[in-house]
Amino acid sequence: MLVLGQPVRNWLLMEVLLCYKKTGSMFIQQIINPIVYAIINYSYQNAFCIQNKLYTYKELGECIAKIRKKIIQTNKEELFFGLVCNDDLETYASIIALWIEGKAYVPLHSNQPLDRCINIINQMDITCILDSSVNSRYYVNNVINTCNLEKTDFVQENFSKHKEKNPAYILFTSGSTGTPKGVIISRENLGAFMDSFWRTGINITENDRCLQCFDLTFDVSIQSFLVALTRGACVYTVPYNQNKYIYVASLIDSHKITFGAMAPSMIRLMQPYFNEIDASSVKTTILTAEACPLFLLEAWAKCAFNSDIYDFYGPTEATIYCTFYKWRKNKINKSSNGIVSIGRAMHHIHAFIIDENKNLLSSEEKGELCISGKQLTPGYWNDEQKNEQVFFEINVNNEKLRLYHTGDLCFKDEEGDIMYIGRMDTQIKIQGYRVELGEIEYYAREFLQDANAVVLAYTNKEKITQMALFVESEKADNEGLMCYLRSKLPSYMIPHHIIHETSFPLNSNGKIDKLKLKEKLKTYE
Amino acid sequence: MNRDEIKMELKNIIAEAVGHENFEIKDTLTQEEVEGWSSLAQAMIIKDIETMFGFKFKLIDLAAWKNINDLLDIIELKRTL
Repeated sequence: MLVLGQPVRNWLLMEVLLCYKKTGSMFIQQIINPIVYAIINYSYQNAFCIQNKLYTYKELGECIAKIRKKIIQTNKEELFFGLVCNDDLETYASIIALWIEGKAYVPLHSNQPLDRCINIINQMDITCILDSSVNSRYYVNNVINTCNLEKTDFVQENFSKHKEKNPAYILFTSGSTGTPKGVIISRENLGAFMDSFWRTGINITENDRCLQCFDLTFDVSIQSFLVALTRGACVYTVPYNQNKYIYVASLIDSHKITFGAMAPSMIRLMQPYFNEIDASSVKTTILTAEACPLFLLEAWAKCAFNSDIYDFYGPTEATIYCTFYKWRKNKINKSSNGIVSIGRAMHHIHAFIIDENKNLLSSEEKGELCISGKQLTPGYWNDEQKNEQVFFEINVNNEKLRLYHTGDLCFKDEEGDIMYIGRMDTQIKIQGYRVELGEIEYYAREFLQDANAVVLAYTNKEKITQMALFVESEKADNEGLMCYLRSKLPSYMIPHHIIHETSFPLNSNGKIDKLKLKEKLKTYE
Repeated sequence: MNRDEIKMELKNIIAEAVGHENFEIKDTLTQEEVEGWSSLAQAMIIKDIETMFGFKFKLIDLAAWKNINDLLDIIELKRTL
């Protein structure tokens, strides 16, 4: 056991720095080594502020150490561990502990329906779950209560268990068949992402206070805590049982947050209170997770008047973000139909606009945005059909590239900045979450049995995306239907209205005329 | 409008925002206890209360509001200002 006296600490720092040179792994270089460095070098600085309680890097290191010890004792073979995502130090430490031990985590949201979490566990054949809850919801599997482990000192080791191609995490997103689909993100993907991120020019130091306001089932959360922990900064989290936008506004104001990624819909909810928030401490803001209206960005720029502002875009499949646009103060900024440009590809990404025959399009031509590069997922878990659908190869400048269909309609301007126009399919974003409308329809039909169901999205009077469920019947057990949907789907996927139609209008192809149905939503818009 | 009447109006406003009436409007009721009372629903509830009672909440009011009793106190105070 090493005692972290000054000479030993200096030696460890040397070891960590040498490790940068020894390994070719971007995951180790960009993530593990910097976090170990922070634990050793900034041990008495704060790593987390969770529910107003501060935790130092030393405490984080000890928490990682006790969980690692238990992982080693419990299960040497399993690659995937379920992780119940609570707002506590143990949950974050579990992620780092699993990564150091060469394992991957599969987040299980503590507030999402148990059925959905069990579905994920079964899909992945998970036998081991890390859970910091007082009373775990899981009985079948090997559940490790991470709160009740014996305190252990953090020790520096080599990372021989690491394999660059192995997964770092698997995130499950909404699937139109009613079954969530798992996106595998490898260590190489995540390491490349971090390398790309720092090349955007954003700079974080050990003096920064960074916001983490996303659920751990959503990949922007990973950027939010990694950027801080790899620089020795402090992560400020948002508890699940709070009104996020009110809590975030209070955190910014009272804890002088300096860096944060936020969804535009949250900024929109905070907007009526901008004149009450002192956001002068914010020096970098990332707006992400959904299309960002230019007027909203500019309103935030007045509130957080010292902040650089970036619009980052990216599907989960391309590891958190893949393009970005830096807002230019006092200059004309690029937008299309009032939506801020998503800018250009990050360092390890290639972005192309293609037509339906997979031909590359010229600037100003509208087509589908397709992504390639080191951040691109190896594919979906056990879903060859989906993999064949969304990944394809083309030759670009005599180089064979593997591309991903984002499903986003875009064009590049003459300077190469990408403009986002909208979705090409039925996938939408609600509060930043990706939602397949088909998944809601699937469960609605399952409950209704004989009746048809269609879900449509609309923008309400507050400019927030909501959903309406159309049911093809004069009446139905609406209360029972909503209860059933709540038992199957996360809260952000529950429609806001149920509208009954005796029969759905059909278009000339005999398909449900969704445009005519959408006209009925005008009273809500 | 007395406190009980305000409470009943609150029930309607909350039910409209969360899309159901499966809750009992009582002083100790918290947001967590009502299915579907998300941040978004919260924003709609705030807007409807402001429209109905003709005042604007401050951020500090919203941060202090933990249950229906707190909310009733804030509404009554705001109405007297």
